[in-house]
Amino acid sequence: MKKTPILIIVLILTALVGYYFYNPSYFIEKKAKKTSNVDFLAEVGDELAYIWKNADLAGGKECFVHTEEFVDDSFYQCNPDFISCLLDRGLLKVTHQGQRLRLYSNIDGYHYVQRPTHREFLFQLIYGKDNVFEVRFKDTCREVYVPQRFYPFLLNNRDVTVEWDNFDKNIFVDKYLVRNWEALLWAKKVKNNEVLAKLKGRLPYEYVTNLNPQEMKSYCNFQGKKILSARLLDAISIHPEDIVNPKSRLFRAPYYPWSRKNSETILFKIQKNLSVENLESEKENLCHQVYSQDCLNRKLRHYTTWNSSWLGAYDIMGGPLEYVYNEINPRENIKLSSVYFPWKSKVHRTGIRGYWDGEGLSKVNFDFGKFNSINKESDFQVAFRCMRLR
Amino acid sequence: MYEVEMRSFILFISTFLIFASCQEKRLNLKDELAFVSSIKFNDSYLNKGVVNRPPRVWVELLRYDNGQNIRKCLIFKTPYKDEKGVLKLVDLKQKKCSTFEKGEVIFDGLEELKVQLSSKGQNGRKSYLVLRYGVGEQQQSYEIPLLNYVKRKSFQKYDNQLDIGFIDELSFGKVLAIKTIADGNVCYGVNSECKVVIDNECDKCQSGFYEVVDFNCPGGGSKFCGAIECGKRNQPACPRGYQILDSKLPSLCFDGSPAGLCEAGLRTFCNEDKILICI
Repeated sequence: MKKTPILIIVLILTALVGYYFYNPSYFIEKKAKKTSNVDFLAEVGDELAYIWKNADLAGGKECFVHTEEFVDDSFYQCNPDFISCLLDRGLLKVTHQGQRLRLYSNIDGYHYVQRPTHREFLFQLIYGKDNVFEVRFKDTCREVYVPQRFYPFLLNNRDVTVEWDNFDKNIFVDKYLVRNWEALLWAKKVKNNEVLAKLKGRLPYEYVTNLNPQEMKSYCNFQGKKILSARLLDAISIHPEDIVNPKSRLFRAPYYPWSRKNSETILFKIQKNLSVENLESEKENLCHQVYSQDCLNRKLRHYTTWNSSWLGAYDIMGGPLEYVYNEINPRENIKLSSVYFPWKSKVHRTGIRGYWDGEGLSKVNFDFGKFNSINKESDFQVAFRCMRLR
Repeated sequence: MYEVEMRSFILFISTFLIFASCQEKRLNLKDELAFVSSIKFNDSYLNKGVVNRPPRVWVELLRYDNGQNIRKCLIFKTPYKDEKGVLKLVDLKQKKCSTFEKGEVIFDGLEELKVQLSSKGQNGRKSYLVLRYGVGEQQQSYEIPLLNYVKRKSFQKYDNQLDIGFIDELSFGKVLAIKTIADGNVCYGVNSECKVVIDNECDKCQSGFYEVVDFNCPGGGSKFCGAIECGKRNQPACPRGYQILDSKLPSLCFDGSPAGLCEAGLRTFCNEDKILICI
């Protein structure tokens, strides 16, 4: 008889425990929170991706840490330091089941992970008390597709044209010249102390301009890429004659990346000594497109999207010299359009290249050909970008 | 009286345990598959209606590699008469699903199972594995978002280099090792009849890959992992493209071939491996 109340109590407790587990939705949600973030991630992923690729916080610019005068907002797109800043300041929020959740980092910063086709940045995030999850942000902002078509490749400073095509090939090029923050990530990852020393104290958004060709090559190879070839530089910078028809065999290469009609451009008028209306007011825009010797009294704005080429690559003319791999003529391995020449110089035309021996950055290390009359002896800046096959 | 109470108690506990274990397994499948990037579906059953042939036989629905040296198969024993279907996970050993191992039963008592890969979201980018089972009003579906599953993109102007993912910009979960191919190995091979003899796995190359000029095939020549300086002496010629030549020749590898570019002063030469090089 004594056993009956004990049994009843046991049954009631069992029933309560049973209800706790038997209620499927409660069970699933509870378990999901503790063991799985699948549904949570499927819900909030889009919002995280939007913030990552647009660096958009509805106007909030607390983490735009560099002066706007020197760097465009696009610098912050797909930028892991920007996401880190948002997390540190409690500014990264997502909506989960109608509620706004604030995300924080559960580790110090992030980890750079190199994949064969892209780089990604691992963050360990936390919301609430103990809901931890890992998300890897992929760098989707810095490579652009080279459309399949016929292209001209200019040699001997535009005297010779070699025709080629990339049908059935997927080629991508870096949209921008490589910047210090990117090279720093790589140098830290591979523990390259020489490069780390070279990059010390440099601003993250500025061009990498003091690596030698071997270091440039290593940087690109590490990401499954190679240094941009001269013919790809032509492909991304020469506006196609017939942009609609990829099989067009019209290979006349316009001088400037922004138009197939040379005479429509201000640069052409300047180079031809033709009068330009409102030249002073046009200079501002032209400096964004081609940062030349004429722009030295103005700040160079990095990551500006003013100088986009026909397929969406930037930093096409002006700024530093650009090193390329020339498959046919190794004596034409730097793009000459740069800050070292005024707009009036015809170096600011597509396909005009000079030579760099890669041994140093003094004038003796360069051959500018017929454009050799340059009043600078040392500290030339040579930048680069990479290309990828897929 | 005591015996009756005891029986009820045991029955209750048993029911609860059975239910709890069923729920637990469902969740495991979601956790198991949601973060996997490498899944190979069996096209005989994917999006093909009810899986019921051949009856009372274990069939493979999919296999996957979770990147941590765990390779498994999701297999299903098709129903026959009163015997209902069973879904379980077993190990993938030597490229075969071990159908007779005990494995982990995910669901049993299944009728009319359908396996679907469904696309949702903008432009159908988000892939879900959907398992539908049951008859009439009893029909249920179980959806698993495949968070790290990617589909090959047909690239267009302005595209970046990444494939289509559940969310293109994100991967989820821990960093998993990827099998890579060492430099110097072929990652895509074609023969003289343009038949693919080595499937394209060039995305797995450690430091990129390069293409060589060999046969005149629509998809281009063979590809090797590694980084070379094409066009230099004794190096492969840089492919110039296939349509620009408009050539009907079966092979583009011959001495003086215009299909490859070489440094000024060098000329193209077809070596004994039938690869166009510069000498």
